[in-house]
Amino acid sequence: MSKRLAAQEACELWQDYRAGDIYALGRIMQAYYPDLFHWGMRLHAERELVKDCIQEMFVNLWKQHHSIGTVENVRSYLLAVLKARILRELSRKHVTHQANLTDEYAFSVEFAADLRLIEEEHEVYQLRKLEQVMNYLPQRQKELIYLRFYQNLSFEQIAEVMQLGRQSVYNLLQKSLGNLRKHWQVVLLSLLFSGLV
Amino acid sequence: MKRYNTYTVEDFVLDEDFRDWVRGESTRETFWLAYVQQHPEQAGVLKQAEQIIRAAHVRAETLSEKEIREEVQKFMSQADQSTPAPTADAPTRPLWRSYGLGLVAAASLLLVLGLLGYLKPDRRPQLDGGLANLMPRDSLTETINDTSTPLKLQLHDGSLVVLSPGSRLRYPAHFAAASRRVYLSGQGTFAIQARPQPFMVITGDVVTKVLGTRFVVTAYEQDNRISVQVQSGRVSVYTLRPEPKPDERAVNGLILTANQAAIYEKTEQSLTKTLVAKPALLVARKVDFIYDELPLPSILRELERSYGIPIQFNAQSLEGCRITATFSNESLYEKMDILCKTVSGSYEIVDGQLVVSGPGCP
Repeated sequence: MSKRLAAQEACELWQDYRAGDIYALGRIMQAYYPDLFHWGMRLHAERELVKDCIQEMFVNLWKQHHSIGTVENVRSYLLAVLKARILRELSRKHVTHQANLTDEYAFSVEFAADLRLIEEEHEVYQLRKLEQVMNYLPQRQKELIYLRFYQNLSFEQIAEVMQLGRQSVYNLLQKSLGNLRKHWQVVLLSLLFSGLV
Repeated sequence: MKRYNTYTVEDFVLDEDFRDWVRGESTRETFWLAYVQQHPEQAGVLKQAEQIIRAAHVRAETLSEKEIREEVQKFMSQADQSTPAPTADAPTRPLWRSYGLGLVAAASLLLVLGLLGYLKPDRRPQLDGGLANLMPRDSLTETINDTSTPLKLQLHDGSLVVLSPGSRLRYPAHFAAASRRVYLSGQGTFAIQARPQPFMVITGDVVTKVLGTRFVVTAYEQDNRISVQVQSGRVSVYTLRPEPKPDERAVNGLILTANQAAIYEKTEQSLTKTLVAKPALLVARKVDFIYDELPLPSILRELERSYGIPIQFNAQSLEGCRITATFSNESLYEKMDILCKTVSGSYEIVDGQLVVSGPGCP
């Protein structure tokens, strides 16, 4: 975690890159590679394709360094660009099911509850249940939860990556959390009952 | 202070501090432990929030440091090739003219670098490997001077490098259109062709960036300190330390002008500005400095111009100080000593400038 590039520093590297410093872009790539790769694998679980897309994205960024503008957040910008590239690549490859880029793409994330330091069995059970509920959420809600909790993006950044308005993102998140709470209570109730039986 | 006592489950789930704590990454462990104890009425809310955060965990992909390094290297060499090589040498002359830069006229610089001999593996985990691997070795030409005499090299853009014994320089056969970048270990004297693209000498954590200039670079591997000394002109020096501690925003870049120097202490990872040991005249002159009943401020301003070093002083209080002196071979510091003593003052070097203080003259 601490090794992550601070947003401020990423901005400075971005300036250097725009000024023609390929070394700066290389630093950005190195620092964000794990995040980008993880994100890419959620969109299409094929290592080589994801790696190729990241490669091409950076080569392309380098070609554009004269013309590219400043960005508010380097990481979310890269996530957005990578997503567009991967989806384009996929629709090119599978000409038959021409997916609508903004809605119909697959997003696969497998939530796996963090059970560190959890000892009580019923708590483990609850977490497993909740994890299950999360994994059954609609794809867009899963994507949002992933971006918020795994990639730590803000609403603005999620809106940029998901190509939604800020308010829609907020609504979607409230809806997801509402869903979870509802299910969570169901889980809790069933647990109570199972305890009684 | 956030009003946690009014927080809902959703609020806690979205709270960065709270999330960090649940994930065991918090710096406020004691705060949260105390908070939970002091707010039993929120126990249910906190528990739910914690569970949502725990359940939303996603396993990391297996991806080794080595794989990342390889990908970054691949990118660096691909990008190098995709950048069109500078179109012959045809536009060179017009370019110089339009930028008003003359060959070799701009600056000279002395860089003393001690690298690699002093790495602390514990504090710099992946970085050194990472940065070292960022150098696109394959696409670079490497010249090592293992003779006992200086070796003269000409780079593709016409710049000249004199590589000292025991030194190594890596450079592209053709510079990319956007920038010119070489990697030095050891010592070299550079005479750089003026071009709009910056010329960068990369030495470990420190990058020296110049626009068409003439300078000397020295790097001793066993040295603990990296210093950059500018004799004339203008360069920027910055470090590549990518892990600034949030609370101490130390400088990681400096602009140096004539006779200024930057010192990078590897132990402290700090970059500070000072002056070179022997400031040189910007333009060599045979004529002595002769002062006859001249006000000290005028003399200081002339020295300022001659050496290109800013001198700070109180012009009003020193205006009454009349100096009669002749300087010939004295160094700048000797001159300053004499001048200051004459008016019972003193000077010090602060942030690459000279600061003169004294009681002044009536």
